[in-house]
Amino acid sequence: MKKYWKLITLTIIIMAGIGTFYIYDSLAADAYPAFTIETNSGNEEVIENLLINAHYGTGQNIQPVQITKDEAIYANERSFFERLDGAYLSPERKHLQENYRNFMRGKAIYGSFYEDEEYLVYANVNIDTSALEARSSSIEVSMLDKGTDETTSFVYDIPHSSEVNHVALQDVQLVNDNVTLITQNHSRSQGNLAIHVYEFDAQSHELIREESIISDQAQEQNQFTDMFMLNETDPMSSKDYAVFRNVVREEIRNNDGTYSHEEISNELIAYNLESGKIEDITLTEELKEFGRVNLFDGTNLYFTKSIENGLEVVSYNIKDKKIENEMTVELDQVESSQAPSFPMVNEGGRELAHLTVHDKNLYILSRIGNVEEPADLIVIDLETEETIYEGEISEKGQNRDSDEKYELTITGIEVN
Amino acid sequence: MIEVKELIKKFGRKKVLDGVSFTANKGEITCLIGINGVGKTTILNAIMALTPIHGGEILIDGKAIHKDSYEKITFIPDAITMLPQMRIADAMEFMADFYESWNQERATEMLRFFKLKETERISSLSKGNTAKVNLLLGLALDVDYVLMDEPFSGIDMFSREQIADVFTSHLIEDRGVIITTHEIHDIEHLIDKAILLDNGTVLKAFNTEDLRESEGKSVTDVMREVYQG
Amino acid sequence: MNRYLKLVNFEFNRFVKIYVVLLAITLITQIIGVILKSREYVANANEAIYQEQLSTSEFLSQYGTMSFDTIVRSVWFLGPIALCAGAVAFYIFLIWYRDWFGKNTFIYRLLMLPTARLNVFLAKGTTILLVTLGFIGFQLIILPIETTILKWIVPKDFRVDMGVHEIIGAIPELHLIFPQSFIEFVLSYGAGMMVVFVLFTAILLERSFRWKGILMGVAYGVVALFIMLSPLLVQDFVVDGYFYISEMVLLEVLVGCIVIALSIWFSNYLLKRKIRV
Repeated sequence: MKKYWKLITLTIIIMAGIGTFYIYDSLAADAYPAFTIETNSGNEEVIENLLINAHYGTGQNIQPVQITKDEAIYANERSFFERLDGAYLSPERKHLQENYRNFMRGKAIYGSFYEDEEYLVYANVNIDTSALEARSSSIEVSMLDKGTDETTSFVYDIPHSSEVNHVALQDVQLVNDNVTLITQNHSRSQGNLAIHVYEFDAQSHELIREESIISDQAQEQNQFTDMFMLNETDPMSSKDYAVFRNVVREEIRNNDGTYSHEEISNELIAYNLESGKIEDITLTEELKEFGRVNLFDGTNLYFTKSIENGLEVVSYNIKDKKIENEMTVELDQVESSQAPSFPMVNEGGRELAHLTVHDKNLYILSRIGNVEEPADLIVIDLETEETIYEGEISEKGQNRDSDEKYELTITGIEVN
Repeated sequence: MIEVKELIKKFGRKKVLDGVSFTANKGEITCLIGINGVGKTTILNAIMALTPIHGGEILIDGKAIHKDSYEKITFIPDAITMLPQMRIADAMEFMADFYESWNQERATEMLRFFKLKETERISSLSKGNTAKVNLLLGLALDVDYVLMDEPFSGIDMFSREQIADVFTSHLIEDRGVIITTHEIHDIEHLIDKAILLDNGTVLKAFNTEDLRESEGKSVTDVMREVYQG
Repeated sequence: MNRYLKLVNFEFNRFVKIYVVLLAITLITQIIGVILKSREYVANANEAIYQEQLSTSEFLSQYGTMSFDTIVRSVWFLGPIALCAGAVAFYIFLIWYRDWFGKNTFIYRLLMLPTARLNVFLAKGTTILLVTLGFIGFQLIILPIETTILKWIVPKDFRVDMGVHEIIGAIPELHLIFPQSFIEFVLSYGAGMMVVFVLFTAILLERSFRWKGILMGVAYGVVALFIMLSPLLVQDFVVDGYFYISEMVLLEVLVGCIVIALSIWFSNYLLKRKIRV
């Protein structure tokens, strides 16, 4: 054996170095704080399916983490194969990949999905970038009949025109057995942004209707339009309305030679999917002063305004054109200078809270910058306007140095 | 018995060996004779499967060469096949490690006979001593056949005599030996069988003893006849 | 001990002197790097605090804290790693060619060993793998030592301590060499060994057919590359994204195994039938 001592030493170095590295890896779970949602009062059932997306860490080493009622799972704790398909990233994707594995093959993750009891619909706009001059786009639709487990697909080539330069899919819905697509169409020339509707017969795959429902309001050379659809709390579900924000800004040359933008108009526009008509949303002067919430659950719009000791929340029903709820929520606020993400209350760069709505319950999570300060979670029943749950994100078993500089940044909440 | 049958070897388009056939028996010294470049070394390489052949067949005791054959046949090339940084002891250890047929007693005996020191590095040996170590590493294996490529070339006179002595000793006895040379003098009296090669073919193969007895000719005489006649 | 292990031992011992030198260079250079970078930071802090009259917190907000990833990004740290990687890449070729070159042609000996010639091939491959893993293991062992040196030099208030995992996690360029999970480690080094075997096969082609062999070696490399790319080409041009990424990884593992098997089989053939001394 004496002859082999060098080789044996090398083997020991390999085992010791690499072995410890990966054994430590399996124990690494302990290195990150175990955040959970701790209930202070109320029924825990309402947070059973609540998911908080966050980042944990400092500087170079930031770990995405998902916090639920009982556990916090860090991205690097996921198995290699789990990470590959990214199903864990969103419960929606997980649901689709697990239940419709074959249908989901070859479906672009940035495509749109619609799901009801009978059908699962996928739509995507493919842009042929191989032709530089005239970009040809096509709409790809796949429909799964859940009853028969049959998939039908069709492709519609968007007629080539110099008008349309880029088509961005906003949503797909199944309305009266017709596949309805809402797109944002850009044209080559300036000031030509429009929201389009494409409607296909689900059986014959014929294009029934193609219409521009909102067109560009910019009048002058120096005016710019920003037109986008409000995110919904559950983008895959059937809904009555699609809501758009249409903002026109004007570029103003300052005295010092720099440019700034000034808002000329800012309106909310509702599109009734059933009737195919635009409906105006006329807000009271008071509501217009509220912060610009982009929260929309398919029926109601939610406006929030920060007040001294919390939030004022107003929900507006588009169909009935009336205010449904009006209430104040007490909240400890934590200030932050982080860039905003949606949907959440955002006032002048100051993030106040993350919001979501599920089953007529409003979920509010006060944003936090530092793990030392627990974030409050409040659930309000919108029908009774009563707080039915109160809790906080807290760290289970503090097993790290209190003076280590770490930070938990919450990026969003969702209930499924 | 080593049988070489209709051996063909090409380098590019050029046929170096064109149907060479001969046999070498156990207990005999067979000598391949021919001028430089005639393909003597190539034949030995081919027997040891160190170079691909393009036709013909080589059998050792009736079988094609396989991995276990290397316990029964060994090749001593014209340059030493050990790492220069090794000591003689390391080289012997290497051989003992890999060959079951390694005979350390015999190696020690030869070491003494050649007056070599175990602690010497191969890279620091003289030409003659390097050749001796090379010979030692091959002959200390208990093998049936030994192939030697020009064991006397470029070596001083005294080393040459020492090596020649080995051929008459028990180290060679009973084994089948194939030796190549382009210069016959030193070993003429040792060889049992001569194979004269030219232009990739065997010009003449004969038993030296028989020829001397029947025709009274030495190997040199026959060579003169064959090559100049 | 079977002859394969003896050959591995023998091949490693032929490289061990250079290997120890490389390990020593790595250790010394990295430690010098840690000391210099830490001292530089402390010197900056001293100057700012005593001469420019900054408070500790002002200094930290202007210059930031010191952590080990600053050192990892420096040439003191990455230089030796690059050197070792280069040495391994070079030795993949040298491990074969050194047996042919020089007056003492050791390849005669290797090919005349009473063992399957494939063992010589596998032993050389194993040596490359062990040498590579040895570098990795050594680096992982010396990292905690180096972070300790940093802790000696930079006071606690000025630094953020990082574990070995955090240090490597912070530098994506190192993930290929130090994969984050064991399964990725196996995949990464499995792919590495595949490349080594393909190169070995190309070298043996050159050694068997010389000039023509170079072209054949290149052609073999292209074939191997094509086999490796085939799942990607099928995914993109034939089935249009049919496979999930996890399935693609499994397919790549499968074709990778095919390339390894093909290389070993082909090399075995070359060593048995075509090799020239």
